[in-house]
Amino acid sequence: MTKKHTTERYSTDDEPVLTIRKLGIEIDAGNGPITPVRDVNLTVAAGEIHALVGESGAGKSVTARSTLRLGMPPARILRGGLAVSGVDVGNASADELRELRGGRAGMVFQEPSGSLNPGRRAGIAVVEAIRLHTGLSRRQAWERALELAAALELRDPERSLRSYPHELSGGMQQRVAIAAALGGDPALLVADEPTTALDARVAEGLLELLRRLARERGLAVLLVTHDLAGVAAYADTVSVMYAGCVVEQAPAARLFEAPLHPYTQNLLMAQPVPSRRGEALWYTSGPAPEPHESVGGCPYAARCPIAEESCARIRPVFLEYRERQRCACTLVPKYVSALLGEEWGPALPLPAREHVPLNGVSPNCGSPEGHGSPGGDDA
Amino acid sequence: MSYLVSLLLRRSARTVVTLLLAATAVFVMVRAVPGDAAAVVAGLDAPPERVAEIRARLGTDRPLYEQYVGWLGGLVVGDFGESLVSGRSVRAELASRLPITITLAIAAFVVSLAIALPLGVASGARPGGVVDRIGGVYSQLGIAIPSFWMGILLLLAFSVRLRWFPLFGAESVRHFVLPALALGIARSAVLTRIVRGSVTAEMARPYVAAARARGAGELRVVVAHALGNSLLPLITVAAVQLGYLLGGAVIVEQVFSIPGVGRYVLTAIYQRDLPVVQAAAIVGALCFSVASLVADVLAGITNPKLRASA
Repeated sequence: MTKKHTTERYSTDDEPVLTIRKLGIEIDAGNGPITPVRDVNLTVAAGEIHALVGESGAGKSVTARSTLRLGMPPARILRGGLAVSGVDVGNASADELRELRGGRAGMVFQEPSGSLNPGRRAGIAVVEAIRLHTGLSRRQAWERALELAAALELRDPERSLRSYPHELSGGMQQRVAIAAALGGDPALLVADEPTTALDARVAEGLLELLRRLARERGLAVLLVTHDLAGVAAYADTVSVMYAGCVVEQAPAARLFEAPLHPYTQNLLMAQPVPSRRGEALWYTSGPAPEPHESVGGCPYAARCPIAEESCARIRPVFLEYRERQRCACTLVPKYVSALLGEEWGPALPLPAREHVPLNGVSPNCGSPEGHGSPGGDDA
Repeated sequence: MSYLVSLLLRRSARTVVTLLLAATAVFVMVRAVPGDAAAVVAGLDAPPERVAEIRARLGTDRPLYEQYVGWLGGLVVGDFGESLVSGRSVRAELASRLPITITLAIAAFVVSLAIALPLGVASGARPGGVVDRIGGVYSQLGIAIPSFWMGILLLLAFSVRLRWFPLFGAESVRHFVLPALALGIARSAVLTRIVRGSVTAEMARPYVAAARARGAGELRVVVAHALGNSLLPLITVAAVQLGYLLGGAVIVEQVFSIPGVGRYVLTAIYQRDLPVVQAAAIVGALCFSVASLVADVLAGITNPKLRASA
């Protein structure tokens, strides 16, 4: 196996910056609650870029926003929980929440043109972030914003920060947005499809920047994206989400070389790759389970090409099959053994340590009987 | 800077064209009204010589194009002719009444903004909240209740029963309180809905989520971010409202016996006092045009996107 990724840069033995355990999120959407997030487990360590991939509606964005408790209410944590630098997000007090947002975790959104106030100079966002989390004066905050902008390779920082958002290109806007997200010096950066609205070359530059921030500053990055090529090149770890569940999780290189979950294989086959030019793309037919549906067994059973009769009934457990490669599929041992001719099974059970005080944990994906911790009010 | 000058020039040119069209429309409409104005003014039993004399004074015996040119020419120098009823200069009569109407209009405008801005912003910041529900009921009532009826209620309560305010006239500030309330409340009902809608739309924009994600509190998010952008589209709406109020609050002026432009026009219409009706229509159009001109220039100054696109 070729090692494209230097996974030794960070260590999973350290306390991760972001820990998400068995997270389920419910949103009361007028006509009954929906469950966009059913079972998410992941950690992001300092210096790590952790990509969250999956098709639209898989719950990636809701998961990302929940790290800052954005959108709650109307959303609420149904089960499990998450912690940023040891702070339990679901049960954070008003003060902790203020510090969490921008101070412990910063967030970048998909639309660079929309995430800056169109009526104010771009740099105001950066200055605001700095001042909300430090005791700096306006003057000092401006100086620091300029330093930050320069560190983020913003051309002509002074002029860029004094411009109105519409005067900047998409890539520049996104860099200012990142500067604003990092203004409070957070340990975690959550980027929700930061490159989707940008053209390929600019997107590449931005991913490069994120990696540099992770490596040089030890920033933990949770990257929600559809760009699998970008993930292959820049992410350290990948979590694949399907219907609100993380179905597979592995170091990026391993995931792309040897995906275990049928859905992951499917997802990778659905991407055009130069080496398979001329071949038909693979795609899954039929719809994914809707967020309001309860899922009995494996959420992917209905679309899975190798599903067996039992898949619709038995809930797969998220198990570690190879070092740091986890997967939730009951058929994996069977079909991998058949493929490789070796005995296959879970290498290690999931580590039992839990960093978050969890309420009413229900281990099963999509189980309707979980008791949630109240999401609490937005401060 | 040059942007503002060019904006001002372009908008002023448009205003002149608008006014020219308005003047033409008024001219045509007044002459299209069936019946001979001169005969009405002279009275039913007037001898033909008297009617002819009035017609000559009105100028309606001259060819149409001559009347039209004369009318436009008069407008340019601010000459609206003489009232058929009083025989005095229409300009002088209007000038003596305009300050009263302007005072009332501005007072009503201030009342409507003072209600609509805080109520609309608080409603829009938390849709479905307590304030929003109260604001919704207020707007429904305000839109449903005509301002003259509100005026009568206010008069009955505060002038007749409590005797806090005078019953009629326009001599002091106290005379303007009740009519300004009657007009302002009616205007504020619609304005509240518009402010609310604008703020709600702004609160759903991603930059608001981004500000929250940076740790900005709700108050900061509303005041420092959403408010400014949501007020931009309001400038135009508010200006139109002010123009409407300046055009004369005919019925409210009648209810409160305020000797303003509205009441003057109403009397003139009853009496077929054509020069007065024409002049008032043009003054109304002028108020409207200038208000929207000011609004566009203000919007141009406050909106960085527009400012840059020139």
